[in-house]
Amino acid sequence: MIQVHIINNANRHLYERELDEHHQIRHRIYVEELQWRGLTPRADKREYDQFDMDETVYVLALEEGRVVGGLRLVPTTGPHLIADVFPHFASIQGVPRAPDIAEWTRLFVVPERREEHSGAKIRATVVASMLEYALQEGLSAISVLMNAFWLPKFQECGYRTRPLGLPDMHDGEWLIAVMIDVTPEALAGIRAARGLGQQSVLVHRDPYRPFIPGRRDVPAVA
Amino acid sequence: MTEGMLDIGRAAFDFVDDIERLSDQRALVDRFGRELNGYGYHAWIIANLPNPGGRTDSLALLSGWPQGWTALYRRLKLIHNDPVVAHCLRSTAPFEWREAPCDPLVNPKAKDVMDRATDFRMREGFCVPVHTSDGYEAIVTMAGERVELPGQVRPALHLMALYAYGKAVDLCMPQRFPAVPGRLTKREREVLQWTAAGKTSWEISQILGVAESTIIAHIKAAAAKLNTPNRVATVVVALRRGEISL
Repeated sequence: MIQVHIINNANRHLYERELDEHHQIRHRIYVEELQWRGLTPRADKREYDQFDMDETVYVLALEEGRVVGGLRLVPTTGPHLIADVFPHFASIQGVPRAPDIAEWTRLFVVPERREEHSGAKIRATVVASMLEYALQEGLSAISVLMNAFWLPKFQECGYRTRPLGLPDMHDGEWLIAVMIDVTPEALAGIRAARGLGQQSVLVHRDPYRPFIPGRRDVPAVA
Repeated sequence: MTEGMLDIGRAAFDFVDDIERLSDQRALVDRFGRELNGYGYHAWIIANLPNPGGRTDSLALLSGWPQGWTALYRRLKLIHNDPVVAHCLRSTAPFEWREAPCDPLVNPKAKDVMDRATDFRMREGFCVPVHTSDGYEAIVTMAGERVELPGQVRPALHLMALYAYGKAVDLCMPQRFPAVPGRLTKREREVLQWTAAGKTSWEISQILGVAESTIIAHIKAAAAKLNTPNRVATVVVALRRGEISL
């Protein structure tokens, strides 16, 4: 049974081992496997970058205590990838910056679980849980820089997306920055399109900290 | 970024904005055709591709091909030898037709397909492959006689093609994403259906033979599920999802 946990700086003391495992997985994937430009191998075999901050929220899929997938969210009011590293991908609409807009990066599924069916299912579960969390936290949109071939897959799920700039080539891939509207339809859409069922697998342990600083009207967590 | 590139980018964004509002296929055909014509492409198609070994007819969603070409293409089953289609299935990046390998040693009939296309004034083309999650492959491709394709136009065509594909699927295959099963109960749908027909809660309570408070509770429950603020919005969302119909 996979559960997707929300980990931020209020409850991270409950997840030190899982967070560390996740940084090791990121090193394996982004440094060793994908060899992303701009990431250098580290002696401790853990991948971090400037967007692993106090404000960062980790959305991690755990199965029997092991990390099997995840992603990362940061507020767009502070430093984030599109604003600080790739602003030309938002050259038409400008870089979105608002307390209720998060930026999504580092979606992964561990290599051991990438076999066709379960890999796609884990990925969809993580993304659906991200949308569910974003709805609960009152976010309006999520920005993401991604491979352009994901766009039709988003459309399949019924997401409403708005491009921020034109696609451009980076490291041999066509990337595009888009904003995804956070709506109940988007969550229902990915659940239906990916056969996830209606049951939430989101876990958000106390102590609670809202994504939008100072936000009070927190809906009950299902 | 140069001014010219910004203009091209803005035109592409206007296109993306415009088509979101379109509600029928004809309007999208016109709008996409007009946009592509501006870049020198008089012919285009948005189509799903047959799986290897699967059905042989290509599933056109929207077509701006010359009619004679569609007929010839089907009759001679050109899809099996079309080097653009072959390359599309192997590529995630957009490409120009001339970039599709057309080696007579690999497929002696491939060049014949491209030659026949020139009879329809389709000499130069651009292709955006689309890969869907269920392994379905699709293509958005456009062609013209002599097309100047400066570097900055490619990303604009790429963007417009991806959004045109998404909109084409919305308009041509609306049943592809059926209402989320089990979201609303049968009774909630029934009550919303009557609400959409203009009935008040009291009237519905009379029709269904239950208390008015029960009807109101059903509508509230449906609004909570659809996250809508009032009954009009609840009816609109339920309609859009196909939970009820007019």
